[in-house]
Amino acid sequence: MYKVLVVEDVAALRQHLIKILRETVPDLQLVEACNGLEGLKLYRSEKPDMMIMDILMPEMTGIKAAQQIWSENSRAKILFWSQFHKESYVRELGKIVPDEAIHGYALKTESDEKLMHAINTVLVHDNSYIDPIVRGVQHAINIRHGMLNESESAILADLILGLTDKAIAMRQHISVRGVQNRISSLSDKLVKGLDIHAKETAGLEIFNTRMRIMLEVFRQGFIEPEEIDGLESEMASWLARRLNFEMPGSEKK
Amino acid sequence: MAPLFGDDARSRKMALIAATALSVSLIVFGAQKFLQDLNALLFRELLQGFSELLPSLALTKKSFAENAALNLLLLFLITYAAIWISKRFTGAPRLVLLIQTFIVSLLFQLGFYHFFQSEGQPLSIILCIVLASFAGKLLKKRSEEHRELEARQIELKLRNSELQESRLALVKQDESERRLLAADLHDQVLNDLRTIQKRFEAFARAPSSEEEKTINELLKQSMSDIREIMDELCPAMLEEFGLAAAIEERLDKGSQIASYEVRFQNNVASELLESMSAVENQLIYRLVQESLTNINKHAQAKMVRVSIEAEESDIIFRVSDDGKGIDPGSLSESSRGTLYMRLRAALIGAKVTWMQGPDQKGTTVEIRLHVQSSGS
Repeated sequence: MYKVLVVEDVAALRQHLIKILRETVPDLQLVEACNGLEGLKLYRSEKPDMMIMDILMPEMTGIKAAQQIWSENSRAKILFWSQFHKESYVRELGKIVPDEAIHGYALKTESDEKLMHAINTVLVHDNSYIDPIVRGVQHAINIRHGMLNESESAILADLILGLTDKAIAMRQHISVRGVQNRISSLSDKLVKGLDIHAKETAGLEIFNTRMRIMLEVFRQGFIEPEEIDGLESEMASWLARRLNFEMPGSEKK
Repeated sequence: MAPLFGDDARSRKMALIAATALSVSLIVFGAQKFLQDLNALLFRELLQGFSELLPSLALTKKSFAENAALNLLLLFLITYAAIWISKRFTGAPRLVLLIQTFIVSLLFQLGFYHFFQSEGQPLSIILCIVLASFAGKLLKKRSEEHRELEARQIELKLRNSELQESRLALVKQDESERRLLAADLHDQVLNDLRTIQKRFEAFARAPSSEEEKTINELLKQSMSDIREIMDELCPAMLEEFGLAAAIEERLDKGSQIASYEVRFQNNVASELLESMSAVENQLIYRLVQESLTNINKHAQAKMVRVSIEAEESDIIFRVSDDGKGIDPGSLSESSRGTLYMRLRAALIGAKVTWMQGPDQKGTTVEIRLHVQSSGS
């Protein structure tokens, strides 16, 4: 059974959200609040498994409330349900998300199916969810057989580029734990639990998960060698923009 | 003061000197009785030098009292001159001039002695000159203070009229922005809603999933339009995440429109930025926005850099591009866009400067805001 706290100031939207939530989570215990301050108080007293929260609300905005909640419990799961659809907004939000937290960002303007998917991803699968519309960075990676979803292919591209968890988190606007969870779900899909199986049998870690993922990437042809240059120049411009770090040799183009 | 000499400043000044001179000479004249003997003695001593010139000098023909008017006139004239000199000059020139005045007075006394048989009064005159030099000094100080006060008043008046002017200009600009907003609301939102209404009527008569999709798309579009307009009015980023994030967002947005590379660097501690008031935040944001808009419109830049730095108790926002650059001549005070920027900046005591960009390319706009030191 999941306990979910819903914080939304517009009653009609709150009712709609609850309806979707009931359809997504059959075994639901519901707590409702209609502004950030009330949400914060109820979070403290009810300790829900997840919180779905609007951002623009009277009394206290969703962002202020989330900041407070995360400062008290850095593992709190919060799914923002907002109308702000700009990447910069999600980026700034990503900066206040603690490394251990799993959070999500769903858009009010998108379909109910997407919202359901977001709820499932965060609440059940323990993964970060950022609506692709706001994610901004578009990767040219080739998605084969519809096997990977957009966020998984984005992480895969970052892994190929050799970024650290922290850097991936920054680039994808999610937490470090969110990155790690995605990598492990990626490994489930590509390596098919080989490493876990090996660890359970041999009693020690035999495979390096990330390297096994790379192996599968090339074996299954997820990416053509020509695509790598594109990925890298995309990363160079991200680095320069966000961190003011010019990659050597990236200026000559 | 009664307009005895007309009310212009010059005659008022002269009247003041005359009044002072009159009172000083009257005082000395009053003391004449006590100084009489000494005066006569001194006068004769001085006359020794001229004795060959005027052989008849040994005689005193008339008493002091008989030539009172004449003596008073001389005292007054000499005092007036001495005050005027002390007001005008300082240091050595003043001393030389005062001595010269005394010598001139001696010539007068000789003349008076010769023509009116009036005995001279050198001691009184020396006394007058000394007192007058003090009085002149005092008057000088007073007039300096007065002038300073006047200057300050003029400055105040000037600033007031500037403020008035800037207020008017800003009201005008606000008005035009409001018009723009109304036009946006009308052209985008209202028209979309009308279209939606028509489509919905059609949909109600003959429902189809395709029509439903279109209506949904239209609704989404007008929602995003409203959000765009709202964001223009009151940027959500600024409210929620502060100035640096809002500026960075603006920069990104500009780069999407005009396709240049962007670099953003914030070297200022967040506490310092947070110490800025809401009005300062708003106005600085608008100034940076305006600079970026200008780049999009005119510069044809390939790279735009925005940096935030702290320098003592100033925060400096720099917007640099590597585009066409501006002719410094066209940046005259009267240029409208820059005028509005200057005026907005003046409201929070900030300064906007335009200069050539780094590497002699493009333009750099520097917005310098003075912030109160920490704790306030």
